[in-house]
Formats: sequence, C-alpha cells, structure tokens
Amino acid sequence: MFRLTLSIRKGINNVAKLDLKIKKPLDGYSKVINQIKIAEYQFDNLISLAIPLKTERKCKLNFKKSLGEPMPNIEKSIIDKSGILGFRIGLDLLLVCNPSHSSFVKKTVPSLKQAFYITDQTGGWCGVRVDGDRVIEMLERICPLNLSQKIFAIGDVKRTIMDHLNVIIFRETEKKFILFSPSSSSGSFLKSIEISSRNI
Amino acid sequence: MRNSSHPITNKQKLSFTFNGKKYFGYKGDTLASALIANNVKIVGRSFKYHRPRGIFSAGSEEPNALIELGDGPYKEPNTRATNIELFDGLEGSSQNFLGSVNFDFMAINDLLKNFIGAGFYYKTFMWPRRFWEKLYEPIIRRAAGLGKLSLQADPSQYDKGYLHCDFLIIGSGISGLMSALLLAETGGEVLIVEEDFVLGGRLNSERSIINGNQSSNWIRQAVKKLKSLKNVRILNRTTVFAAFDHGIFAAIEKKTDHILEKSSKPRQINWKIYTKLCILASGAIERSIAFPQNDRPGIMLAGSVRTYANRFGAYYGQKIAIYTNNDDGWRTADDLKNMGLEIKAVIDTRKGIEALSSTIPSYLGQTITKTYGRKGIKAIKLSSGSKLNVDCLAVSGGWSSNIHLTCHKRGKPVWDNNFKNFLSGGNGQKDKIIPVGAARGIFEIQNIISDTNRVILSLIKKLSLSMPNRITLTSSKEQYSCSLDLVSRSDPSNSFIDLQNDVTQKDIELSFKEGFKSVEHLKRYSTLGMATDQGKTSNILGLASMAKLKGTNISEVGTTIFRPPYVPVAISAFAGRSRGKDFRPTRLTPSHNVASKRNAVFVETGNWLRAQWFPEKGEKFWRESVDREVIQTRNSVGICDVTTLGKIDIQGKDCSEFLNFVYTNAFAKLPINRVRYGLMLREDGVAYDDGTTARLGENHFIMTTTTANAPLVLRNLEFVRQCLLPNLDVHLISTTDSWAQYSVAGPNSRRLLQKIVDKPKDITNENFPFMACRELTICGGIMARLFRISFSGELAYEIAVPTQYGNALFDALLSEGQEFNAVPYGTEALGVMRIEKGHVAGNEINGQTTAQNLGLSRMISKKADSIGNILSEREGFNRSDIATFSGFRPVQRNQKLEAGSHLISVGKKPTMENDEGWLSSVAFSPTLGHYIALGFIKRGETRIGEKVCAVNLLQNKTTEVEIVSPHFIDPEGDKQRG
Repeated sequence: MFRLTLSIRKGINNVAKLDLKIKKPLDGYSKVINQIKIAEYQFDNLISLAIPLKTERKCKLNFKKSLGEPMPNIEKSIIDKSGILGFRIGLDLLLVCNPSHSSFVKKTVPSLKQAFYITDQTGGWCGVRVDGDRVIEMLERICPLNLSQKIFAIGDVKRTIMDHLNVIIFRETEKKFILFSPSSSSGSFLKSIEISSRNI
Repeated sequence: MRNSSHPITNKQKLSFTFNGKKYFGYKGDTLASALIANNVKIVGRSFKYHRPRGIFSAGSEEPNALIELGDGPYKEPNTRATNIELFDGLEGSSQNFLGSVNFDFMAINDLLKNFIGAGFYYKTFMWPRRFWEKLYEPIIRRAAGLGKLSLQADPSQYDKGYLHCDFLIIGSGISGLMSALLLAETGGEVLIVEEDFVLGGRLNSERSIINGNQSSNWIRQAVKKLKSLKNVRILNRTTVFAAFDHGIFAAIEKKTDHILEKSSKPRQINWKIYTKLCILASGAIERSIAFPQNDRPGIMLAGSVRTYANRFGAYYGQKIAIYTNNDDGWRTADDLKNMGLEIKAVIDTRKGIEALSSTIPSYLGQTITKTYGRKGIKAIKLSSGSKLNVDCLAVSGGWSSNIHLTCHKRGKPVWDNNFKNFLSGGNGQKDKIIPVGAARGIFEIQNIISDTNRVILSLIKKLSLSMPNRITLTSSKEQYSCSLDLVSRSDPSNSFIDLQNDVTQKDIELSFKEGFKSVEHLKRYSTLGMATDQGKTSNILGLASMAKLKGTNISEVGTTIFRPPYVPVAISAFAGRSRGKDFRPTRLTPSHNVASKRNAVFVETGNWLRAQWFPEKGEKFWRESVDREVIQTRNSVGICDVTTLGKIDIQGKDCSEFLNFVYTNAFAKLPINRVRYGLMLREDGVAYDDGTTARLGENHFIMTTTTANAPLVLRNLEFVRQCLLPNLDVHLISTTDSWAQYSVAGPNSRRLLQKIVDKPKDITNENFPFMACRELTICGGIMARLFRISFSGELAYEIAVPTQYGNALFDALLSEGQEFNAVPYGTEALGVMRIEKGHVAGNEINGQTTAQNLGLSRMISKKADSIGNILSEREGFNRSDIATFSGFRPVQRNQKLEAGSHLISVGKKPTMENDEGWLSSVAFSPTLGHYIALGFIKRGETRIGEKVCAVNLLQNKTTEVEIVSPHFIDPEGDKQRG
C-alpha cells in the first residue's frame, strides 16, 4: 500500500517515545517588500504522477475520477474543489499539491495509484507565493520567461531556471504566482526573491 | 561659455568638481557640456604621446574625454564625459598623466613621437629577452595607459533582468519614434531603448522644424502618445551593447548613476532582451578629417559643436571655423551664426561646389595645412596660405551609419558609394535587425520620414499584422552630399587618424610599407580602431588612408567589423548580484540547524554545505576532532548526514531492464528489499559513477549516486530513457531533496536504531542482513526507509525519512544515542573511514580510471549489453601491466603521505618514463595510528609487500611506501555483516 508521511501516524503501537517535529523549509516566512507580499506556500503533500508508457487515456480517466477535474494539458493546471492543485509539467509528468485536504492521502492518492506511478516529493520542494502590483517587475529580475498574459496566462505553469535554481512557476492570478524550488536551496531562493523585490 | 538665454539655464543649478575644482552646470547637462560651458579646454591626455586633448564629440564615440568618475571604491575609470549625466556633487577627474593634466611630464613622449610609432615595441624591446616582463613591459604600461582601477571591491549593487518584446527599437530619434508609433498600432509589444537620458535622439541637437514647429514639440507629443500605450515600454539611460543569436540583445540600464546618494538600489541593470524583431534606429556617427595637428583642444566634430550649442547652450569658442567635406558642415555654420557667434570661415575641401551660404566667408576646395595652439586652438593655416585666428574648429568628415550591432553576428558592412558610408549589407533581414533612418544611410530629415514609413509599413505588411496609417509629417528640408576628402598627405606624423590610440597618418603609411595592408593586419599593427571607442570616429579615415596608399577605394580595402560591447561595460554589471556568498546558491542539508548548534565546521561540496567535523571543547586542531569521531564511531556508534548523495526514484515495468543497461552489472534478479552495488561506465568504457541501488518493489528502485555526480547521472539517465531506450516504461524522479538520509555506523548502530524503529519490524541480522532494505515506520508512524549498507566498514545502516523530519531525526538519533556515547561525524571522518575500508570514491573514479583499474572488471556482465561494455574490452584497458587499485602505507610509519604523489620504483629517477602510478586518497588513520593511502600502481595486485617511492615533486618530497591491500581494516567484511 502506498503510504505518505501523514497517513501513518495513527494506530501504531509499540513505538519509541519520540515526537519528530516537521520543519518547513522557510519556517512559514511572510513579508511585504515594495508592495509585494512574499509568503511561504505551505502544503501537506506534494506528489508527482508519472504516466506509464502508452496509458495516457487510462490516466486521463483516472485523474478525472480521482480529482473531479480533467487531466491538464502540458504546462496547464487544474484546481479541484478542495483546493488541490494539479499541473502537468511534461509529456508524462504531473505534480499534485495538496494544501490541507484531509482525505487526500487516504482516498485520492490510492485512487491515483491505480493508474500513475507516484513519488512523494513533499519534502523536496519549497513553495513561495508572490503577490502584488509590482510582482512582474520583481520577477523580471530573475525569471527568464515571458510573463505577458498573452503568453503565460492564469493557470499556466512552466519549469524554468531562476538565479541558477530549478523553479516551477504557476500563475494564480494576473499578479499572483506560486514558485516551487528545491527545498535544500530554499534559503538562497528566498534571498533571491527578496533582493529582486528590493531592487525594483 | 554658456548662452544665458538658453532654456537649460532655467533648470536646477548643479555643482560639481573636475580635477578638484568646483564648477556649476544645470540639470540636463552632460559632464562634457558643463565643462565646455565652464571653458574647461583640456580634459585629458592622449594614450601614447600624452598630448593635451579636449572634448571631441557629444556621444559614445568620444575618444578623448575619458574620465575617472567618483572616488575610493566607487571610482570608475574610462567613462566618457559625453555620456555622463551631470548631477549635484559629481566628482570627475582626468586620467593618464604624470603631474597634472595641464602639465604632464609624460608629454616628453610627444617629442619622441618620430621614434615610437606603430610597431615600435615589437621591434625594439627584443633584447635582452628577460628584460621584457620585468622592465620593459611595466615601464610601457605605466607610460601608456588609460584610467586606474581603485583596486577595491566595488560596493555598488548591480542586477540582471529579462525583458521580452515583439519589437525592440534601439534609439529614439525621429525614425525610432516613428517606428514605435507604427508598430505599437499592430498590438505587438514594443520596447524602446535609448542611450541618452532624454528621448528624441539627434533631433535634440538640431533646429529642425516638424509640422511647422520646433521638433521638440513633436518629440513631446510622440513620447506622450507612446507612454499612454499599454503595449509600449520605454527605457532611457539604457544602451544595447550586444546582439546575439535568436533575437537576444544585451543592454545596460543606468539606474542610479545620475544620483549622488549611494542608493540601496542597483546602480546598473544588465538586461537580456528577447525580441522577435529589432528596429535599429541608432542614427549615425560623424567622422573627422585627418590634417596636421588635428587633435588640439578646441578641434571638435561639427555636429557635436552644434549639439552643445543647440541642446545645452554651451559654446566652446566664439570665433569658429568649420572644416568640412560635406553639406552638413554648413549646417553647423548656419546654426552657430544664428546664435550670434562669429563664423570665421567654412573651409570645404570640395572643388567645384557653390557655397551653401552667402553670408559666411568660405574657402572652397581648400584644406587646412597647419593649426596653432598647444593647449587650445588659436589659429589655422589653409592651403592657400591664409591664416585665420579661431578658438574653435568644427570638423566634419561626413556621417557613418551606426551599424555596430549588425556586425555582432558576423554581418559584414557594405560600402555605399553614394553617401560614402558603410551600410549593414543586407544581413539585417536575416538577422532580424532592420536599420531605419540614419542607421540605414538616410541623412536628410524629409527622407528619413518617408523612408521610415516605407520600411516599417512594408515590414508590417510582410508580417501580416494589422496595417496602421502612415505617419504624415512635414519638415524642414535638408540636403546632404559628401566627398571622401578625409586625409591629407602633408605632415603625416602629426595628422591623427585615431585620436584615442594616437594613430597617425604616418603609422598607416608605415603599416603599408611593411606589408600590413589588409584591414585586419592594419588594425593589429597600428591599433587603429581599438580601445573604448572602437574607432567609431576614425575607422573610415584609416580605411580611406589605406585605400589612397593602395591606389584603390574603400570598398576594395574593406573593413573590420565591430564586436561587442558597443560601449564599455563594468565587469560588475556582468556579475550582477552573483558576488561573494551569492555567487551561487547554497544547499543546506536537513540536519544543518542541529549541526550548526553543535558547532560544526562546514565545507562546500558542490553547492552543498556539509558538516566537515564537529569540534568539541578543548579540541584545537581539526584532526583531533576527526580522529575522535572515527574512533568513537568504530568503538560505538556515529551518525553522519549523507543526504547529499544523489537519490533517483525509478519506477516502471521495464526499470530492471533499464538498470541492466546503465549499470555494468545485472539488476533484473535483485530481490525486492535488497540493495546492490552498481558501477556505471561512460560510452568509452571509462568508469563514470558508482552507488547502491535498492529494490523497493517489483517495478520500483531507488538509485543512489555520488554527491558531485548527482545531476550529471540523472541527466545521463534521462538521455538513455528518452533517446536510447524510448520504448521502455521507465520514469525517473530526483528525490535527493525529498529524503533526509543518515548513516548510522558502528557496533552499536543496530541497538540505537532499535530504539526508534516501530515494532514489530525486526532489524536483527537474521531478518535484516547486510545489503537488505525496507520501508518501515519510526518514532510512532513516520515513514522511513532503512538500508543495511556500510561505507565505513562497520556494522552500519542508512536511514531515510521525508526531509521535513530530517532535522528532528538527526537530533533524536543523537539524544537517543547518548547512552552509547553516539557521536555526530562529518565528511572528514567519513572519508577517513572509507579509506581505511578501501572503498573507491570521487578521487578514484575521476574520469581517468576504468573498471579494470578499480579492480571491478568482474562487475562487467559478459552476457548482457550495457553502456561502455564493448569499449571496456579494448586491449589497452586489459593489458596485464595496467595500474590497479591498491593500498599504501609509509615504510617509516611516522611519515606523512601526500595525495597526488607519483609512484616510482626505488632507485629510479622520478620521470614520466618511470612513473608507475599515483596516490589518489590519503588520510591519517586513527585506527592504525599512521598515514594510509589508496592509489593505483602497475600490476598492484601482484606486488603486495613491495616497496616503492611516493614522489611529490611540488613539495620536493620522497617517501618510501609499501604496497598493501586497499582494505586496511576488516578485509573479510565481518564487521559490516555482523
């Protein structure tokens, strides 16, 4: 059975009397710089879904069944009723981010596992939400992508490089983005966002 | 002097210093215009002969007025006074002199001019040879140089950025603004980039009439309209300095250079601009004429004299002569005369033309044969013998289209004999750089208007975009024709072709005489067109001179091409914010916080910061800490963060087949919950990487790689998956960051882990033997993965938990381990223990060694194909005398060994021929009490017990060593299996 971090904390007997506390990559950071709100985007789970070879149709049906939304096209996203965010970052790869929906691990993940190969990446990524009137000006300093809405519309997602770091950028609204970067370098990435915000 | 009725005098008054003296100017001035208004004649000394020089031009082409700007660490040399926007408190100073700029002792070079022409250094300082580096070169560099660096780190901030547009318009003169207005109507994203701090380009320097009004009115209206459009963005104070492939341009925006206060904002931004099309509206640059003593302060380009008068109300002199070979020189005379200045004469080199003004004294078909006034021009002598007293000489040799950027992608300019000008040569369309206006060789305003309409509208039509109406403008009428009278043959040693490099007509003649007739040779021999101005005002003169000497024309002579950058760019602007600690990102391990609290000393391994050792109270030397960590681990238990090792999640029905192909050894039959060591080869059969791979399920593996190779291995695996084996069902996900992983090593490691592993999981040797792995839970339900693998040679495990629990788990292991005297250990102790055990690592798999060298040839499957398999069978890889992996210890046990030492048989000289191998890894073994080493030596496995010399030529040190087994401890592996 597929198990995720938060799914198996209950009902275990005969355990060591230790309580391992979760450490979020940015410890819940939140700050406003030059009218740009920068805040850690926290989530309970982040999993990748790989589409097995030649099973796209099956996966589409399964995705719809599991999340109630059609499987997005490449570089597009969906948000289900409970706020679960799914985006497709490649031909055969999707990421699903669960901010806090309690049945995600018990119901959604096992359902998805019927069709996809699943890898838990909860600890691997750090999310930063940037929001504000000057957010595009700020992103111009680190993001090589064309963020014009004609090119990168609301709901679009892309993989890119910012300040030498691998980043997935997701556009929530015209002036609100979520940036996912590797957790080990999240401190450097946050600093990069802060400097960019101060520099505009 | 300043025209007191000029509008600029109504603006804010600014004070500044130049060479320590205080002056005043106005907002809207450049440093050059303010210096001219303050009657400052000499602004610098020439590069080689230290001749006094004054301001020559009004733009980026300036060869003379190179200024050191600012002070202390903020000092920036070689800035052009003509591009510096004046601000209150500006501090500028001249450069390249000994004494003062007015009395430069180095001006003695000028007297020696005839002896130190082009090629002088190459011919003269040949003997004695050893004097070159220590004597000649330092003297020459001191004598002939530009500004001086502060030699302190630049404290200013710099940044980078990315801009995207459909149309990049370089320049905001009439053709640039018209292009922007037309293209904006198509709905495309338009970016206008202007080097100046005001928009309008050359129109700001002229008294042109557009639609019945001063052209400034039209500029205001056009800019207002463009600013109101959402799809138009304007960047002034921004210079596009390079053009690259795929519509990429580089530009520097000066953000705070015009502000005195040291701002927390970046001084400059290095923009990378992506565009679909570039409209090059960069205008034209006026060229000079070479005639005797043509470099005196007060001899300026005629268009620039006009700029200073019209735009800034600044006059260099009041008795002005104009020396021209074209119609535009007459325009300067007209403008200046209308301002009430005395025009002594227009000297036009062209014969058979009519004077373009009847009210100005003119000398047609004449040349200037001499000038007077060392520190400022006083008089000129004409070929007719007439002598005129002047205090400013405006020179116009015609205009050259500013096509610098079209050359950056190897576009070769083409000579246009009509306007005596190089044009972009048709490369523009291909390179998507489309010149308009003066950059296209159109110099009269009425023709620029009609031509820009035509070029841009036909472009829009070609692109099938919505067609705007043509822009209807009426303008004053201008005329322009030009001759190629650019050089005179009299007094060649004083006729300057290139002011910045002190290249004279004589130097060109010398170059010709010595056979350097090609433009490329001419440039290198004479330095024509080099340095900060890249010959913007001088190249055509040099070519015209060479053409005359060769008895041909410029189109036959050809031209060198411009290279980036268009203007000098501060090195810091290329670095941007990537300086010091921010040079590259830092990756922290999950245990970083706990390790910091335990005073860990960190080391950079790639981008990672890893704990190197954990000093305890009383430990003064790093090895004390490392030795303690090794001994405590071997005696009881130690914990080390090994998260940085690459972890790749491999899933899919065909992943075992995939692993069989990328590893030399077979994985298909690896049982679930077991781990196997694997070796990867490159396609050429050389060892690439190693690591363990665990099978968690039928179609699920976890591969580990070395820390340094993690991204490369993943990239290589993706290449195999996508390109070599696309029909396999395999998926790869890097999970290096997703899992925190700790090595728990030592005889008490099992007992420690038993305290945190949730029951009923049994990790006894019977149920969890060496090379076992399992998913389980710890600490009351936290998902974990446990691997029974050992890098230290001890009974050891690696335990992995989701990264968010990593910090807490490291802390918990240490606190739960207190009863065993558990110790955290760093990368140094990790390295020592792996050397003691005889495991290979990056020092051994270094891209030069093969499986045969490493003693791992038996791992290459003979049955199945794998990457590197075939080429690993090459004869050279399998000779009997190849260097093989071995252990070494000093014969005198108290002697130290050095990694990198070469191995030579005793009694032989340390030469390449006698070289038998090398020491790859060295450590002091606290377990054995002496130094040990791993390395490679020819036929090592057959030479156990033999003594050889470890020679370190860098330290001139030879140590006798004994060849031993690489496994210094527990060679049978009893500990790790126990």
